[in-house]
Amino acid sequence: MAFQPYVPPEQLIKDRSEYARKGIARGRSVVALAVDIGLLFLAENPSATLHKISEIYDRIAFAGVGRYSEFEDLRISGVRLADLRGYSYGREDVTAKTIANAYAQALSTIFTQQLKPFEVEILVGQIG
Amino acid sequence: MTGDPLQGFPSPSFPSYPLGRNPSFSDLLRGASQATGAPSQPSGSAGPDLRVPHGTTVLALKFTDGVVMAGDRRAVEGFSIADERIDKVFPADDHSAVAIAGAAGQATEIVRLFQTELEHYEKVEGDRLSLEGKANRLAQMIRGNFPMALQGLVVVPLFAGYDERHSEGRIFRYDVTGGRWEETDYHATGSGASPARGTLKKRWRHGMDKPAAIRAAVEALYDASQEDAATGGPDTLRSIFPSVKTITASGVLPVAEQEVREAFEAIVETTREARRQAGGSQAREAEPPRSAERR
Repeated sequence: MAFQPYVPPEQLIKDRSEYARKGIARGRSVVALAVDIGLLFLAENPSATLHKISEIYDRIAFAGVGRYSEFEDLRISGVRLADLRGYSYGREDVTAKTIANAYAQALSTIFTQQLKPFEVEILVGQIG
Repeated sequence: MTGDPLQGFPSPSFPSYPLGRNPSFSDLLRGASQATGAPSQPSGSAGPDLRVPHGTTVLALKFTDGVVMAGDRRAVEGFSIADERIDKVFPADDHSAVAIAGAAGQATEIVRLFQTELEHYEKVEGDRLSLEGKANRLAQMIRGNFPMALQGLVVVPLFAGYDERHSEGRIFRYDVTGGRWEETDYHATGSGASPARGTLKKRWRHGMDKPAAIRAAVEALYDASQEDAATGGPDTLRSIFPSVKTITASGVLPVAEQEVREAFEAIVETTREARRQAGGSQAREAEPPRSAERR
């Protein structure tokens, strides 16, 4: 059996969040503003093929910064959840609250249980 | 510290998708129903007595700017009329529509799944499917319905769209096994398909404009309603007219009821005029029995 040194949980969490923060700090920012006709998501994006801002559902949008492959995974999971909800129940039953809660759960599980936390910060916005 | 990092989110039934992510919504749905233990397709035979509403005649024809798609408004359950105002032409996405003849419940479900499939693909990939791709996807879904078709729940769609890459309208027809064929000019499917196709064969012209195409569609459905008991004709008294949609570069747009009514009234007027010009000839045709008596 491999010898595992004792690391206090406080230290573990601190190290992980520091690691994640460093990763996120390298990315370019996204801004979200509430404007008179709805929400404005603005991102600095040097790539034409990688999307930082995307549609999740009729009135719900997503934006992410940090490691692309990680927030892209989150984005697609959000689209899957929204489409499945909308198909199984109704289009009006898809809310940003449901999606945000699912993201919170997933990110928390990843942060504590995976080898490496996700180096991402995400935004979910809904109008109406 | 292993396992799916995004547990709690739905994922497709085929995690072994060759590379990258699976953009198919129906695979995702299958995965989700397997996870919840929901029954897939029922087994056993429904028998010929199963009475479910059936939609009847739908058609599509090309015109200069794209495609006109139309369907009558009747659904039948055996020999009785189940619905007089059903709509059988559905937009699939911004530039394509699907019209369905067959078991109405099954058909609307397939359409809903197809609509979500296209929307899901577009969001996951950030790009639209080609018209060819959409037509193939629908073929796979009809093939997936084959066990239900064997039990009597036959669904036969007609798919039409505006091909943005080739700037033209295109029509695809299907059979119950999921076979897919592209039509060059027009097509009709459902119980009144053959009289409707007969009319379209006479009326369709290359380079027709929109009013002419709408008129041909309405006339074909009217003729089908005269020949086929399951196809509903226009009802001026209760304002029931065929549902007609145009699919062009500007999208899938419903044709206003007033326009359909005018097309129908023009057909009635032309027919009346033709009969008037024929004048007594039809009355004379009725005479032979009398002359036969004289002999």
